[in-house]
Amino acid sequence: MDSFLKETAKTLLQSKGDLKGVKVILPNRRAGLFFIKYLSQMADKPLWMPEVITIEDLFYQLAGKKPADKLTLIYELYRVFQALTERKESFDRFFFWGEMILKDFNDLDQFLVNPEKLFTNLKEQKLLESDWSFLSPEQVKLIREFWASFEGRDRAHQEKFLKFWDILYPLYRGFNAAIESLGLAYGGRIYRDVATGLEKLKPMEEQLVFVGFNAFTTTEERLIKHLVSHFGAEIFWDLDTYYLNQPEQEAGLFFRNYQKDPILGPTFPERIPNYLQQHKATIKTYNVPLKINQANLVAGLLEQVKGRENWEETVVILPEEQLLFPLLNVLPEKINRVNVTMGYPVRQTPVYTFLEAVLELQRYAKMEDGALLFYHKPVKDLLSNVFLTEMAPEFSKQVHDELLRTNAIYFPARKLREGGEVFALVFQLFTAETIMDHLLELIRTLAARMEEKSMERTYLYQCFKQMNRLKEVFDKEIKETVSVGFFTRLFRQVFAESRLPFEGEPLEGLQLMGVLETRNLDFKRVIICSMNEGSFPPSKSMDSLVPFNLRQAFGMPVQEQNDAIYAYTFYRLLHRAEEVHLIYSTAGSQGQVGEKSRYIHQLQIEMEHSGIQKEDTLVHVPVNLTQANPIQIQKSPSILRVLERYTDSPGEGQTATSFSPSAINMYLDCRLKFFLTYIAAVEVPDEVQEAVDPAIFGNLVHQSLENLYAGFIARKGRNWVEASDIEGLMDYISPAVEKAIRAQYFLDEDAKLKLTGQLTIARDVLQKYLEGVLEQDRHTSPFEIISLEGNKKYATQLPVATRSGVKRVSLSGIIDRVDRVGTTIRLIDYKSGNDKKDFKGIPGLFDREDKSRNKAAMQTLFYGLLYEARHPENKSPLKPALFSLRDVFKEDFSPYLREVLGPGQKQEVNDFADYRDEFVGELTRILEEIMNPGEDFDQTNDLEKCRLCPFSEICSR
Amino acid sequence: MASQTPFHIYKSSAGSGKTYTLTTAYLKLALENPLAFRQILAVTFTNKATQEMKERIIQELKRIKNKADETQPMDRDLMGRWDLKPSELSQRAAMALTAILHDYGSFSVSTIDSFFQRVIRAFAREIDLQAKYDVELDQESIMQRIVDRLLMRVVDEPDLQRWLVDFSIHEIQKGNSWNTKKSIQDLGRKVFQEDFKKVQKEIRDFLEEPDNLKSLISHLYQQKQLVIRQAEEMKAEAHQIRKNLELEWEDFKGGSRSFVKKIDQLGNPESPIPELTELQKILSKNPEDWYTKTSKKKSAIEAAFHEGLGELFSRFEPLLKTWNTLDAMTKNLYVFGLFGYLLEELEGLKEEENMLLISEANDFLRSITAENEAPFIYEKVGNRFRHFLLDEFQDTSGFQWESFRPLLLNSLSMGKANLVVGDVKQSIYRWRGGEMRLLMDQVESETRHFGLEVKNLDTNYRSLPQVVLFNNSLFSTLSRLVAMSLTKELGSDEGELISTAYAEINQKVSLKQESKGQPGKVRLEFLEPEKPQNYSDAALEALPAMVDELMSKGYRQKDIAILVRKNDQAANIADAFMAYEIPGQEKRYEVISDEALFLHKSAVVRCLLAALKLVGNPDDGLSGNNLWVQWARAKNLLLGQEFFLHGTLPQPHSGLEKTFFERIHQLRKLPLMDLLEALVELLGLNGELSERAYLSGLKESVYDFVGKNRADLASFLAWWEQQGHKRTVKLPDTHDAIRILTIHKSKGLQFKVVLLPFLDWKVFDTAKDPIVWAPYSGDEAVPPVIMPLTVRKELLNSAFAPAYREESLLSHLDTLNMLYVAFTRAEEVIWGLVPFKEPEKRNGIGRVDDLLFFALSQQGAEGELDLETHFDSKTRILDLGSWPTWDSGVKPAVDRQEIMAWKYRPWRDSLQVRQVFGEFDETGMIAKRDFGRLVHTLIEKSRTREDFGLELEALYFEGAINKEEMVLLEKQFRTLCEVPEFNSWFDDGYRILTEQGILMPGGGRKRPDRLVFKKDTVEVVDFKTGKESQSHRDQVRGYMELIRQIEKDTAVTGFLCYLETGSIMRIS
Ligand code: SF4
Repeated sequence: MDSFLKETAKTLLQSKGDLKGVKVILPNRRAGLFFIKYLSQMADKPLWMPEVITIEDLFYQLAGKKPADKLTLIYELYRVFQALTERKESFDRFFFWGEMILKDFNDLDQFLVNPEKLFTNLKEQKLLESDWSFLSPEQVKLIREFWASFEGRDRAHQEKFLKFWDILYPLYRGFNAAIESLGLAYGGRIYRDVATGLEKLKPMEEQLVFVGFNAFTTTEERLIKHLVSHFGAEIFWDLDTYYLNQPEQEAGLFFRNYQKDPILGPTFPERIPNYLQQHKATIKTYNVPLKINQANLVAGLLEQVKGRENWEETVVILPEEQLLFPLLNVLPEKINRVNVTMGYPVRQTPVYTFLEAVLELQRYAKMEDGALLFYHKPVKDLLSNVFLTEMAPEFSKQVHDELLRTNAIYFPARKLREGGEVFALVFQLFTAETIMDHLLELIRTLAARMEEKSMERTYLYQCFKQMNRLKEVFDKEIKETVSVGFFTRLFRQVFAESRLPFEGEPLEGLQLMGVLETRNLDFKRVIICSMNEGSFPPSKSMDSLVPFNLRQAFGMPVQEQNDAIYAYTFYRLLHRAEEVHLIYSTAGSQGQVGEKSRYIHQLQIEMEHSGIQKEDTLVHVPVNLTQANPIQIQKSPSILRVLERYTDSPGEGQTATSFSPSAINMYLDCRLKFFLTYIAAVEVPDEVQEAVDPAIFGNLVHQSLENLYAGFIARKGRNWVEASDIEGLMDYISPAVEKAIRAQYFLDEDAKLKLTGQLTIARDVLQKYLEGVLEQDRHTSPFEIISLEGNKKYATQLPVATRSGVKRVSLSGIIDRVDRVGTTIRLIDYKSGNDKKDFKGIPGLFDREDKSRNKAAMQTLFYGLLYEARHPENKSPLKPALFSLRDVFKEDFSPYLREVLGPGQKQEVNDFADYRDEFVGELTRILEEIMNPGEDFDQTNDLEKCRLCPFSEICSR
Repeated sequence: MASQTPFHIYKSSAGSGKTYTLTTAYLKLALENPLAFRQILAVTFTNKATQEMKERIIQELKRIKNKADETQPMDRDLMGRWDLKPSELSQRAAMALTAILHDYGSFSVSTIDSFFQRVIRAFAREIDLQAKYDVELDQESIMQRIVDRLLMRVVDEPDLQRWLVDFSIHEIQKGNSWNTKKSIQDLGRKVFQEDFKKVQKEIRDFLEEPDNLKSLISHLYQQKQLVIRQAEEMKAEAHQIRKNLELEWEDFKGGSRSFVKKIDQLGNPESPIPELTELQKILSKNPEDWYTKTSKKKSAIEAAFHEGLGELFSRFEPLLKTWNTLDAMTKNLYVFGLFGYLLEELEGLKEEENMLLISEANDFLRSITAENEAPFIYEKVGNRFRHFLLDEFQDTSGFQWESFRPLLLNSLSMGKANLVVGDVKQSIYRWRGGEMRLLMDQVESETRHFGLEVKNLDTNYRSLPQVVLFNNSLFSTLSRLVAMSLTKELGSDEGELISTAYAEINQKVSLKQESKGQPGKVRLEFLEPEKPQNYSDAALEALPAMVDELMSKGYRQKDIAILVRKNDQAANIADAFMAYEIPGQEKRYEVISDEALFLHKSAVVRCLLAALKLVGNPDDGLSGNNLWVQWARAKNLLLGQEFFLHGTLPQPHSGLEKTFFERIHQLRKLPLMDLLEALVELLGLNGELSERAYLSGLKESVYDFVGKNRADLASFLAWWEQQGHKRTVKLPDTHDAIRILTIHKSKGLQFKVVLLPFLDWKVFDTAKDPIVWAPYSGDEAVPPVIMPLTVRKELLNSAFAPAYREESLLSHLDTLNMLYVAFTRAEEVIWGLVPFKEPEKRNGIGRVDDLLFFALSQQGAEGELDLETHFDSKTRILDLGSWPTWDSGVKPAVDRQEIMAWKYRPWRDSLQVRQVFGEFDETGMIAKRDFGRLVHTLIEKSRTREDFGLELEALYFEGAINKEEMVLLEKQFRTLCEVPEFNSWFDDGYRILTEQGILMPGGGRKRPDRLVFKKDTVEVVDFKTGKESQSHRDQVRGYMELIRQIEKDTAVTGFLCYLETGSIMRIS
């Protein structure tokens, strides 16, 4: 069957013979392309091509004017608005309201509404005066109803509404006057001018032919009727009796009106086609679980097409244009040409996201002592962006690392700008005045580095053009300074919408389109995705300041008209199709459920022919899950070799090392974690931590106390601490903490210490902790400091049976502080956590099944072993002690370990010697196990341990 | 339709045909006339329910349209209403259906939220919202951001800093982390909730005045010190008395365990007043109970009592109450002090990002409906509702009701019909603001004057007889148990609410279910885990076998639903089923769950995420490991030590890891969606069929993400960290799989078989730290304040006892309701597991299993099933009814045909972005060579000189050129026009065709730039840039030849015009 456009072309050619002087007006350009194609296919000799334009073009031609750009218009609107109201609004805030007002003005002009009447305040008037007689009784009723709702008490919202409403007419007038004096116009204005000046229209030489229209605005209707009655313009309608003759079918709403019109009526064809009922397409409907799966289904349907195909006879319609790429990425091989009408959405390109990130960065800029700083997160994002990494890979990495190392929450711009030209452009402060120049420069610089003809460069060019225009507007017209934030929003709006056209012969290959682009086109096979309410038809967005009843009363379009237009677009696609596939998804956005489109309901319930599938096909996606196999690493020879490093014969070419108490603890917690950390040495990446994480806090605790006492020893030249010393030490807390923080974050000695948020709090908490420790020390004083962590690493070896005989396995550890109180030597560990001091016997310390195994006790007892090894001569009792953060604030503080002997029975550990043999026995057992080739490294069963383990991804835990 | 009683309230117990009732009610209104539907608003609880309701209405209309059936009660009802014949009803239905389908936008069935949002949008200007705002649903992450912002302020605000440090220390002392961020977030989240909003004004006012908080704090601490000191004094006093009489505490009755020893605990800084047990309180009043009969110190002890010790004990109680009051107020004091800041930051964030929080919708709406008369609202919304049908009314919040009330009252005052449906017993959304008292009595009392009909729907259409009877007697027993226990614990009458809520618990069995001849089955097993297993392990282990058994009885997977209370339980069950091998079968069970099928469980998803991370940061060794480990898992390979030690993949895959690294550079330039596809392809994950639902889920996440956010990798990864882990696989309901869902989500649904594996939760769970807002005005020293209190038992003995009682009462009702919802979902089979405990260890109804245990050991009341007789205390199983017998005519599931295609093919292979002409040079001006091209385009498009100006302007508005360039172009054109020849081509005295093609036979086209029809001749002009060339001349000659063919009688002249030089060449 011939398509509508082809049929029309044929008729036109036959009736005219020659197309010179014929002007064809179509709803959109795409239809024009197809129309010309059909014409040329029919020509048997060279022929003049008719002029093909859109109705918009026609209006602009007749008016000799084109609309100005939106930004300029809104700004003019804003200026007039400001003069009319006392409530000052910034341009930022006004902008989107202005957009809405402009749209309303456009509407009322296009529909020839009298603005003065529309915007009248009828609150006080009960009756409409006689000069409202142009309205029908129904219209009057609607208006009355609206104003009647104002009855009753005065209400704040109604007052607000009226205040605004009363401005609108003066605003309309003022705005029109203002732009007129500037020689500008907006779309609606042009339409109104043309439609109200028809008598002035010069006779036309051309033969006008209107093809495929459905809904006219009042101005359009007026013009067209004039052209028909005065200049013999012709109209070709693309319609079907199915919806024309059934008054409930919204698709026929406009046609029914036009058919009754004395001028338009006669232009209707004598025989109106009845394709929808006579020519029965097969119509299938599908329900898929996810939006994205629609692409897979379309690809599957295309795959099923047998034999050779003229793909241009198949169209896939994407009401949600975002689905384009998912679809393009799964098209079957056999489709070698595609034609895409909607263009490449720029906002998905890396180059756009880069620019957006650059703007985003500005939100987090801050000046401090004259230096510009940027918040770490956007900086990090930018540094990993391909446009910067490519520019200076080494530099990016280096800065990135520095960012992590110093844990900079804010990072100086100065350093970032050292990376080169682009870096310098990106990492500067944008102000409202400079922002556009900066961006233009950035775009130019970026573009210069890109391959010629690359898509990015094309895009940047477009961007450049638009930005230029924005700058023009702002520089020359808008004297307002807008915030960087507003500019970013504007940028998003203007640029995110822009599209890059695709290359391709429009009339060849599989056709992919948005809904409105299908106007007037016919295809044999029609596949429509997103047949969901809200997508097709799209959800209501009748954003307007004119309330519904008034819109309706004054003949401005309301939802009904919108619905009619979409319904027509849908049904028209079925006119001549043979095979139709309608796909919807049950997943909506934002956790909502997708609702099937009304059109499917309509077809399934109302259209009585057998080609329509009455039940939707449910499309199934397989959902099996691969189980995570347990990971178990056997001790291969290479692993055993690595383990040898822990013995006194570390193996050739390997450096010796030793087991720390934390390694043993980790081994007991999870053998795989031990393997990954110590044997495979998998690195765990750093993050900038805004919150100080427990490990770092722990470091700071150790370091500050070390600083405090080491400083004391250095100052006083003695390591004997008296109670009277404590007071003095208090003054050194703050520097000790500060020094620790500097060291932790690799900050220069002289750099001013600027802490942020949580770290500030952490610092203060730390100081209190130190105060607490000193307070405790005051009670225990006098005491003698024997060693502090920094100056001594303790080490020892234990004989352990391995497969190659007994070897000496190395152990080591750092003891935070060793001191002597009276005759007792205390082995002290500072704890930032909540460690307990009770433990249930030595075997319990090595029992991996015990969920409450006391690791801290194991660790401090381990110190006993280390201390003994270094001081074999020692006869004093060795007493492990824990200073934990929580406890130092307690009144009944005691740092010593206690063995739990039974319910309510505890015994303080006074000397390591009492536990030594048992401890060594257990420890040796564990070390043997580690060295034993038969014992694998496997995963723990206790999932609680996996919760904070960095390897939980590896283990799928 | 005016009727005597415009307002109907239906109390609809489970399975009582609520949807049917609603649908019928809807149709009664909608069939009044074809357009009546536009004035009805039906409000449902969830989005999903909205759709089901819509579908249902359409289905019924369709059915009636085809044939109205007198045997159907609905049809009878409808016919009776207007006294219609079946055919007439069909006709009405047909008309209404048509009207709905063609004005579908006015078919108003919606959730309360989406209705509210429409109203708010219509009033945006009046309530000072911006013209464009986003509705933010994710309040969790908003709170996180607010707290982050708050912490950033610390540096500059010493007061705030001091406050937070004190808070940290306070937390440390309680044994918590110094990092208070989480605590702030947890309590901070309350600002979104209705019970906070109810008191927010008072709180703001209180906090506004900084001294208020300071004085409150110092007051509280002083008072606490005071209590401690008093306690210490009491202790000293007591010891004095004791010593004076030469007594030891051990001399008193009870010896070392005597209650008088409590005196030693007085003054403990953390709890200075020891609590006395009920018994001790009594003992302390009677000196006779202070000594044993045989005691030698009898008289001394009596003397001690009278010399003050007895009186001293009577001081315990009031002092403890004071202490508890003070202590409760201190608990959340720190976060409370931050509320002012939090609200401030929230305002800031909202303004900056232009958003409306979903939780604010109610506030705004309340102000709108309070400010405006209903007609004005409708005018602005553009929809006038006359009838409201409100479903699930028991879960409506107080604010929602307040917002809605004016509209409803407006309708009622016009005598229009309205309907509310709900069931207090199924109110389980209190935590979201659900206010069951509305349905219970408030609505009735507020609307009674309009005329009201309350109806109890008392037949159960859902379940088989035994299931109905079981539930009848279980819940009548349970409600009695709970009511009794509450009255005992909280004092007089407190249980009454429960009794009222459950007054009409007895449901009738429906005829339809009766006639099936199947009794249905209920089974409750008390399970004793074998050590060291805990109860949930045991239940998890038992579940698959239970399903095996159900299968053997002929049930299919989709018939079965497993209901749980918490999301993680759902996840555990899902894991258990996915790991379970069905005896003698290849396949495994499949499960559907919104709570459990997390995307990140999938190897493919994990692998791809690691790959994305690695692309973002190639130095991230950990992601490198994750990537290949998960890759191997997806491919069913196992990586051993070669991989971990040397990073090499096993044969035949080795090398892939290198390829991957080589490609990273290239991959980074791809847009996110394409990047993901490319990774799938590169890693060969498209071939794997099995995890496709997960893979699709990941793609959908990216798809949704790029639709709304900045579409770069870093942002996506950050989002995934925060939100992505919550994403689950979505499967259609028709899928043959076991459902696992929370009881909350199961509301409104029904299943053939319901399994309840974890009947073990706490009846009143204070471990979750519920917060209540309670006023405190007990002191002159501080202004009245409303404080957040953590609900703990101690509150009962404090000034806040009423708040505690209320919370306890409602929590008990919550639990009971939760059980009710869970047990009433089943059509045929209920099978529950309950932890076993020795009966003597059960004291009180602390947990749900206690409740069930006691219920099963009670004799049934009159007319109720006697549960006790069905409970076998040896096997510890309650077994009721029998397995439904099945006719084995069940069709096996048809294997669906696979119609999807998955193969990746980069779109760039088949498609390219078109080059746009134009470049820019250093100065930002259009490059020279493009300038010429620009003039060309302009000229090409302009017919007349005037047109040129117009086109030029258009280009300017487009932003393609700036003002200067515009002037330059204009000038260039004017210069060209100085040549008369050239000028004549733009003279509108002639007929001029621009861009006028010539159609060539067979489909070709030619396009000379310009045709000027002069008197007897046609001039064909082509404009060129660049160097003159022969080919240009040939081209023009070609055109001339063609034109001669078309315009046979006219002379044709050809011209070439070089725009840069302005030279014009005549072609002959
Ligand atoms: S995730 Fe669990 S099993 Fe895996 S290494 Fe970490 S602790 Fe061990």
